[in-house]
Amino acid sequence: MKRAFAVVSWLSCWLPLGAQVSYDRLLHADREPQNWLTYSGSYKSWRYSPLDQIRTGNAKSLELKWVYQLDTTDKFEATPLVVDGVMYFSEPPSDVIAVDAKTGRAFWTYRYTLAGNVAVCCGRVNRGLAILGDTLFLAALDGNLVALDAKTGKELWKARVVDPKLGYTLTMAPLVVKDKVIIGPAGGEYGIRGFLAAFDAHTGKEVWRFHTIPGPGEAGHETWSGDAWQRGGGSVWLTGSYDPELNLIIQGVGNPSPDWNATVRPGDNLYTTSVIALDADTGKLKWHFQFVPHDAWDWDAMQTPVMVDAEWQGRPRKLLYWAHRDGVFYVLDRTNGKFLLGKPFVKLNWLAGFDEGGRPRVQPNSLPTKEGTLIYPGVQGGTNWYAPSYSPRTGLFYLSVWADYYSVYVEGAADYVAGRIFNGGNIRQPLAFNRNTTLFPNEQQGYGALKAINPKTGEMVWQVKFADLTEGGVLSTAGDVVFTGNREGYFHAFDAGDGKLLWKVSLGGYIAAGPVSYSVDGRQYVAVAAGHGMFVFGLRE
Amino acid sequence: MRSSGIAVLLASWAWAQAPTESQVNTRIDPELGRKLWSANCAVCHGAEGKGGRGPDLTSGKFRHGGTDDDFYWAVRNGIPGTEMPGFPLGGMESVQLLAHVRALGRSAMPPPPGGDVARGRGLFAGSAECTRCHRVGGMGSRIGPDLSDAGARMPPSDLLAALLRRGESVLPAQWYVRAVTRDGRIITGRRLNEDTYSVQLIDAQEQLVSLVKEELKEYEPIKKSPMPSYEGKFTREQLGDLVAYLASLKGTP
Repeated sequence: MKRAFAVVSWLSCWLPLGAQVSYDRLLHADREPQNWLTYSGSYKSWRYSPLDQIRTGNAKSLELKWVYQLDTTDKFEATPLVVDGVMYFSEPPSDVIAVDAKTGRAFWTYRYTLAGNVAVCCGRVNRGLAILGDTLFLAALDGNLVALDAKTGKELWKARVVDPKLGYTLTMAPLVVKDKVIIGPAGGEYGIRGFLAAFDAHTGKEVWRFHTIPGPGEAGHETWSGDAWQRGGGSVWLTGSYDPELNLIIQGVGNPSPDWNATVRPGDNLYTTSVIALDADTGKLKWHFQFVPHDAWDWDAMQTPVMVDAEWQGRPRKLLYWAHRDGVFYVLDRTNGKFLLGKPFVKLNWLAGFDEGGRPRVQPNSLPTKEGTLIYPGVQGGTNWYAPSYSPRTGLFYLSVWADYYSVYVEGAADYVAGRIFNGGNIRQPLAFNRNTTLFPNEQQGYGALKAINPKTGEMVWQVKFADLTEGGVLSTAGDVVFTGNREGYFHAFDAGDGKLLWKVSLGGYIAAGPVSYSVDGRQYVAVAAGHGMFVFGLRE
Repeated sequence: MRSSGIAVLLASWAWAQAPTESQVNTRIDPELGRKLWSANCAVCHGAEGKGGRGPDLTSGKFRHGGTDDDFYWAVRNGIPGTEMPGFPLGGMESVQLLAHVRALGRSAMPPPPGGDVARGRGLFAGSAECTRCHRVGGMGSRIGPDLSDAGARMPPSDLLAALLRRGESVLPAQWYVRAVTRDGRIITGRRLNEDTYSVQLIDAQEQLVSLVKEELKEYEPIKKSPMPSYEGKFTREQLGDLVAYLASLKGTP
């Protein structure tokens, strides 16, 4: 009897481990609260965990369960995946590690060798992985898409996507849709011509490619003049979302190049600083919405598209929530890109209002000049790529912001040299780009905060101010807890309803990644990349 | 390969950016240099160049920018591995700015005549009570800024000014804090680090103290210098001696 029980429990324990991550499982990721199957937790990109063992009432008894220390000193921006008790994450620049999600002990490590030095604007980072079947997908910094056997870490295939010598790099977590792996390149400070492309998950062969900067003969090309489109930017370095009913991939597009000298690229510069909706099978554009036509401030649309079906002015609608780097919270109809709401969530001085279609009326004298133009928000934006979260229980949208902060945007030379920095100017600002605890800014110069926004109005419901700035992603849970870390190295649990601090721990290193939640053997965990380690917390047993 | 690339870069930049002879011969306009400094540099290096987020540039010694060419390169391209960005200044502007920066470092100026280093040292440790707050070469208190290299950081005229002024605003890195605990204990000290929930400081007894803000009744940073003015407390000769002593402090090479 005892033996039979042992066999049964052995089977029930191990059977799910053999199960592959089918597309159907990705499609219904919310039915598997124990797992975290995609970068944003689900195709809707809510970063919401239906787990509720950790609640407002007991979060104060969270404690460290394990830490996995990296070998690298590169900035750790990755979101882990958790599949049936195994956690997978990327170690920057482009390594992959599989560990036991309960203990943090490693199953295997995959070391990727970069092809020499790679020019990057903002660190040799990687934001995460994707999985389909038994295959993990890694977008390696120097331009290869790599497929790995999830059980062994063995390389299955490697596909050359871009050439790093021309300023193209890969930093995003891929998005798997059906049998395709979707990625695009970073390099908006290097005069690249961006794209989003789909690769066959089994062979690595490119299936379709959508150029975010349309070439001659393509729609939108008329928004460029001369040959500026050839180095027009439009990078893609953050994972988009997928709407299976509409069969649309919703993806943000980066800034135009050069960043701050817009005089060399007259026109609206489509599809930079826009959201695009592409047919997932063909890569054909279905609609687009440009947040900032002729962007001269580097406010690229590298934010996670949050898709919510909700009532809008009395009727149910398929909505898209987007807190954009330009300091405005937008609501769009994601069936057609129609503008429904634009509401500033931080101090800004460039916007005079919107026309009916949502095109911003830019205040006069806002463009960068040789002498410098002081603009709110500054170059890092009101928010940036830091993952936001939406909780269906509170109906609130949570995000990290840099509030009330400015940069002086200086227009400079824009001489393109392949593979070299091509930002067309410079930035001056009182705040530090990097973690700085002894010279922290005062509040008049701006501050970092976690904000909760009512997405129906764009109004702030509550905020928590920090002494330093914050780049932390946000997680909300069915236990009505909101988790986020910050640049000071604190990782917090807040009450999702009112922002009350429930628990915090000092992890002693820059937190610039989004937390996730998962469970193993019925116990809920919360994981976050901090400093140079993956930290995992659970309730005291 | 990489270094030769940099060399090529340097050469091409020098060709493009180094001021021409006629520009070098251009009359230096102190007002223009000061304006350029205020607009571009002061936010990090301080209005007087005494440093802040960026280093003190008043010593006359530069880690980057020792030669004029080094200076132009650093200003134009920024300094890799630091927060120093590049500034798109023209050749003319660079010349004016360089003149201003060179003028910041006046440490080569002789101390006011008549100052005696030995007498100054005696005053510093004696009746002036400087060592109650300041430290030189391992002697004295750590509560105030260490003055072991004061002469390398400040010209004598600035040292004299520092002895005479009172209540001057100081950079965030030199703020003091005043805290009152729930049981009424008052703690003051120089702030070493601060975050949302806590502050770390060195108190008047030179103890390293870490305070949790929510456990305090009162907490405020003191943004003005707590140093008393020596105006009227010493004769002009004594001040000259103190300045001579401070100016002789060049730190450990």
